[in-house]
Amino acid sequence: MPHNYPLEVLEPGLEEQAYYDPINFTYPGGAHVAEVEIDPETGIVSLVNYTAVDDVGTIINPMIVEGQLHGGIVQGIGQALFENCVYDDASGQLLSGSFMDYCMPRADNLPRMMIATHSTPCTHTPMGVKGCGEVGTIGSPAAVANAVVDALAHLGVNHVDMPATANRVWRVMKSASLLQATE
Amino acid sequence: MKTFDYHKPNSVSEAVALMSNEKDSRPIAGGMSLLPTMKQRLAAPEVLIDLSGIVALKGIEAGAGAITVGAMTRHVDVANSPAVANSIPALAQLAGGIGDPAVRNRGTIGGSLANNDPAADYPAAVLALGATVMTNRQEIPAEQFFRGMFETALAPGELITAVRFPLPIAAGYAKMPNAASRFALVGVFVAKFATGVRVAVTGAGPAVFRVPVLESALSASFQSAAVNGHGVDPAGLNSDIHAESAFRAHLIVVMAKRAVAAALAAPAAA
Repeated sequence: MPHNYPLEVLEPGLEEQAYYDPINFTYPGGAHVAEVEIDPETGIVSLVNYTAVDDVGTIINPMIVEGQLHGGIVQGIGQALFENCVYDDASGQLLSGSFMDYCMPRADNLPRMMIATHSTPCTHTPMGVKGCGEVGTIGSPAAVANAVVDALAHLGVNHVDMPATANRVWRVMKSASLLQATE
Repeated sequence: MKTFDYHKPNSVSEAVALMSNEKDSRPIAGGMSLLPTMKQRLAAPEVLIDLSGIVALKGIEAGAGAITVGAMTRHVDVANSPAVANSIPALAQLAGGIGDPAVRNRGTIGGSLANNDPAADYPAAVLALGATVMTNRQEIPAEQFFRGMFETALAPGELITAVRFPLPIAAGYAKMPNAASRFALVGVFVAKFATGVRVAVTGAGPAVFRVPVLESALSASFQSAAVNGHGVDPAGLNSDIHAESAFRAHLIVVMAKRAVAAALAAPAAA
């Protein structure tokens, strides 16, 4: 320590703070198309085709981008069709506490996906990149849920709660058919 | 998992002697249900008696009018057996759809029946085919074997040795899997005999059961359409986070229809 260091007013050490304060967020965007088939007897929803085109700005490693989109899309499909967190109303006990009860999407639940990118470089990030991690997750629940509703539109259905489990879809079809029968 | 002692006898009599000598002992077949239960400490037997060393309990024997499957025969062996495929193809198909390949390579018919899980596949076949469960003490008709949820007619110290299936004219099995566990949400086995049609349902109730209204409809006409217009009462059926009882009641009729279609599509028994 230097002989004249002002120890009484300044503690020794090295401190530096820096902030990254982006002038704007990045705005990735895309379009997702899902095709589903519903078994009218069991209510099982099968995802038969899935196409996504996303704009994630400048792409540096296309393989990583495709993997991110793939994973994100499947997470969203899980929300739309399978994953259900259920608590007991009376006790608050989690009823879907293991993978025997909490349904994760698995490979055989999924079609081969068509994934493409359409890059427009971001104007306010150093390399023109945009966020990529959540793009798939945002597009897919809406695309799949809308496909389910569209498949049931002829029955007058305009909403199905997520996840669209077989039981729920059967219940919705049954109520809609009863309603149509009474009209 | 708690510690336990382990024995691997070579004969049924040796196994039965061990079971009566050792307190709190449990026989273990493939362990596909018992081991996970022990890992979760829902069961903590002090002694396990491993039946996999008893050669006499393994194998499939095709006889006149019946096929006999040894208690320690694995699902994969039933699924791939030419004798089963020739006599009761629906039974081979059922075994090939139990769990996943890892389960089918370990799990056994005797273990599945003794456990009597309400959503297990085999009980549906055993009850619909009117099979006989053979033990070291007696022969138990299927109707008397399944008593309730995880409950059977087996007494302490009694081991299943084999299951004898009479050969049907036609048979089929259809299952709606639970999306998460892939156990049967509802599984229906139909079997046509000269004396009539038997329909057994798994996954929908506390234990496997028959459906008289579908049996009489299908005995009159063994066609998928014969079950149209017949309903099953949801009262008493399982209701859980995967399926309400009314949905299960509906699925029983749908799966019965599909099981009949499968039976009619299968080649006639040799």
